[in-house]
Amino acid sequence: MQQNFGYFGRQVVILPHILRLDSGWTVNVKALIGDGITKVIYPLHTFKISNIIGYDTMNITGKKIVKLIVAVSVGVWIFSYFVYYDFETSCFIKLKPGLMSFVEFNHSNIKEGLQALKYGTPDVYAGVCSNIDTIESDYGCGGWQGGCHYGEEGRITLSTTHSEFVGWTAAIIGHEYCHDLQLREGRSFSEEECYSFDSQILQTIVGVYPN
Amino acid sequence: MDFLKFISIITIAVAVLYIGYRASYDHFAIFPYCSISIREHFGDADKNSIGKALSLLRKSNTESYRLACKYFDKIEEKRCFNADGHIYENVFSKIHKGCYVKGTKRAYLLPGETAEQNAKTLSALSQFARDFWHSRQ
Repeated sequence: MQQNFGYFGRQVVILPHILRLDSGWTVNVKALIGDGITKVIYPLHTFKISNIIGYDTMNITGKKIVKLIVAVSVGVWIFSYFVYYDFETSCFIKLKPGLMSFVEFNHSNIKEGLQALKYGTPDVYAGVCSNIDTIESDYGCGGWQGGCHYGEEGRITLSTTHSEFVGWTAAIIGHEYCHDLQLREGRSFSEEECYSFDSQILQTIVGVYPN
Repeated sequence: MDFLKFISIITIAVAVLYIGYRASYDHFAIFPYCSISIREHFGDADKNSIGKALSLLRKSNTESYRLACKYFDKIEEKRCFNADGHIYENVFSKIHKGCYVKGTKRAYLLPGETAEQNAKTLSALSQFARDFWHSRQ
């Protein structure tokens, strides 16, 4: 048997591995290796290829693992639409889509806005992460391309679109966070303060050319 | 069909479609590797001025091209502003050729500019992005 297979070399067989021959025989490669053969390639150059009618590259457990990986990947991909997570700073914010925002799929823009805050204005980002639990997204809250705070602590609404200027999305997150702070601190609702706050964010995170 | 073979065929088909799509509508190059999404402003006279600008950079300023490929994954035509119009009324009257938002991989270019101007702007923005990330190390 060792003479038939020989040492060829393009592909190392992953064990366990069964070659099935048209004679109905099966050849356990592990046994071959036990006989001193360390490498077998497929297709086999000197072994008559017509004699091989198939081969199993994986056992049942291997197939299950691949299916599990595919299922988990798809699950994580869908789940990530509804959550912003940043393990580095332990920041988790629920992203709740409104009915119309399913059409827009604008959560990637919101996530990028949060990333801009993270690197551009770390203090604001830390405040958002620790105070804001939920960001709702929908069309037409407080006009187009704006945001709203409906007086519920930790919950803000954005109406930015998928193709929004991400600097503006970051600024609106900051603006609504400002209103959330006003609420938590028992201060009156002031738009002026929050316009000034989001303007500072814009000036910090957006680098323009020419200056 | 063998499950692994099925997954392999699907993966290859998706990869081929993806590369074809990116090469048609975006900027995609293998040597040096560069993959940047392009979003042009609807109705511009100069079609594909961002793609042309990247090609121009690739030929004439390889260092800036390399930086753009490293720091940007999307380039859009959109007007930039760096203040809130509720506070600074004249903010929209300022015309910026482009901008970069810190912490992101996006660059924005003023709609309607020529490929030459966009190449110059992208060169400046890519260096801006590099300086920002270097300052954080």
